[in-house]
Amino acid sequence: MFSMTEPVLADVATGHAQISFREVVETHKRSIYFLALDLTGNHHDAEDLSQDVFIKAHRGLKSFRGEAQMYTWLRRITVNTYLNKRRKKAISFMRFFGDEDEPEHTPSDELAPDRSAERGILRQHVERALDTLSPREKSAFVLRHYRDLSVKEVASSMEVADGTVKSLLFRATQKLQKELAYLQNEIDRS
Amino acid sequence: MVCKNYISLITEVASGAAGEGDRLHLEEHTSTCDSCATEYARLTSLLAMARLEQADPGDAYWQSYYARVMERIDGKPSYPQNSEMQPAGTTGGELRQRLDRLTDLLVPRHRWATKFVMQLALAVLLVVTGVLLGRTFLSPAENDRILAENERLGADIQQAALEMRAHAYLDRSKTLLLALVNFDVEEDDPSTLNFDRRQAMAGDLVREASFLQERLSTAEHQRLRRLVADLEVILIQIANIETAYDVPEIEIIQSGVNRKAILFKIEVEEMRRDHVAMSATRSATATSSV
Repeated sequence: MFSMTEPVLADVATGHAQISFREVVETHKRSIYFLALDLTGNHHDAEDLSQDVFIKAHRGLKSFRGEAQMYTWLRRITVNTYLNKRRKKAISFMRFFGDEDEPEHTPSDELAPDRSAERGILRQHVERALDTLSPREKSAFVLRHYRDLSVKEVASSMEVADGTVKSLLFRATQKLQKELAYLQNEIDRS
Repeated sequence: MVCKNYISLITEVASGAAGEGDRLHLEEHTSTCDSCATEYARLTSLLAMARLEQADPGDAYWQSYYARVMERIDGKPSYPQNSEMQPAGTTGGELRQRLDRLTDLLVPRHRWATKFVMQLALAVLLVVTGVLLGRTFLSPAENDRILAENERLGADIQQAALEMRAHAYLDRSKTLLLALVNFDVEEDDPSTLNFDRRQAMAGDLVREASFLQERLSTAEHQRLRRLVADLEVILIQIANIETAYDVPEIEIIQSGVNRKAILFKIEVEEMRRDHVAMSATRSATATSSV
């Protein structure tokens, strides 16, 4: 139970239940963080993105009517925030200095020190392949394949038509196929 | 060799875009066609490979997660949406902050033009009140000093309001240009651009550009004035596109924005403004702590 003296208790009606902002964060922090991690590919950006999501949710809790499931709502905010950030990043002046996609040091590397070198190399290749996808293709791909959402659910999360999702998935698959084909050949040979 | 008719279907099913009917159709085919079955298996295993294993940051991270979110929420100023309206001076800056807060309460923040008028009205009211009080209660010499002080303050406020208006103009222009710059002429649907609305916005901004260029006359505003003028050229181009979905014209605008590094210059101007605001906040904090 949460104390009434907590700094923020923005109650929101979700059906019959009244929940606090803290409960929202505690319940969904992991799923939102991991979705953000799938989208951004590194811990620091995932931390930023997931926190941004909860900050936006905090502002919007009063207007949340509970028509959508809380997680569905948060997921939509996550995807929108990710796409907006990528859009901003694309025009940011950092691009002018060419370090936009500089690989970052992530705690996930520290957390798995016993990971084999081969897996590390494979991971690098896969990350590079995923980076060739546009933010929208990546969002569709992550939601469909990592989160196992239906095309309809992906469309609702991205606020686009089902057909758009299908074409994004198709393009993403073609790109990954092209990027990862040589790895597949290596694996087949070995 | 993969059957020609099934190349696309294999990708579609593996991508997760296909419906149940298509999936069953492919399944039926692959049960009798080894090469398509192999290709489908290769592609699905390749996509499975693209699924990265993500490490959990650990219990300590999760335990303090809520606290970190709250820190970010509490750490923001009470009127973060108006960071472009942060103080640019010391005394005038403090006053501007107060005016911002007051006008934030009275006027919705996105209606920046109304807000500008409101701020001017408040500034004038402040000056008039000062004059009236001075005439009623103070000696002539003291009265003159306060009048001069009020005049200086009035000019300071007008200057700040002009800068705020210029930055609101940059913000709106940036939003408009971003939509065009990020528009992928090969892949995106032009109807998603809401071009009519953007053209109307460009028209508004062109009028605003003329107003600003006339008034941004001091030497310290030279760079801002040049940026407003550069933007005006592009905005006129947008406002004058005749066909709503004129893709080649959009490409010309995109290349114009890139060539002149307009977005970069806006970023630099925003950074300069934030830097000035931060310095002012720091000096205000230092003064209050003394």
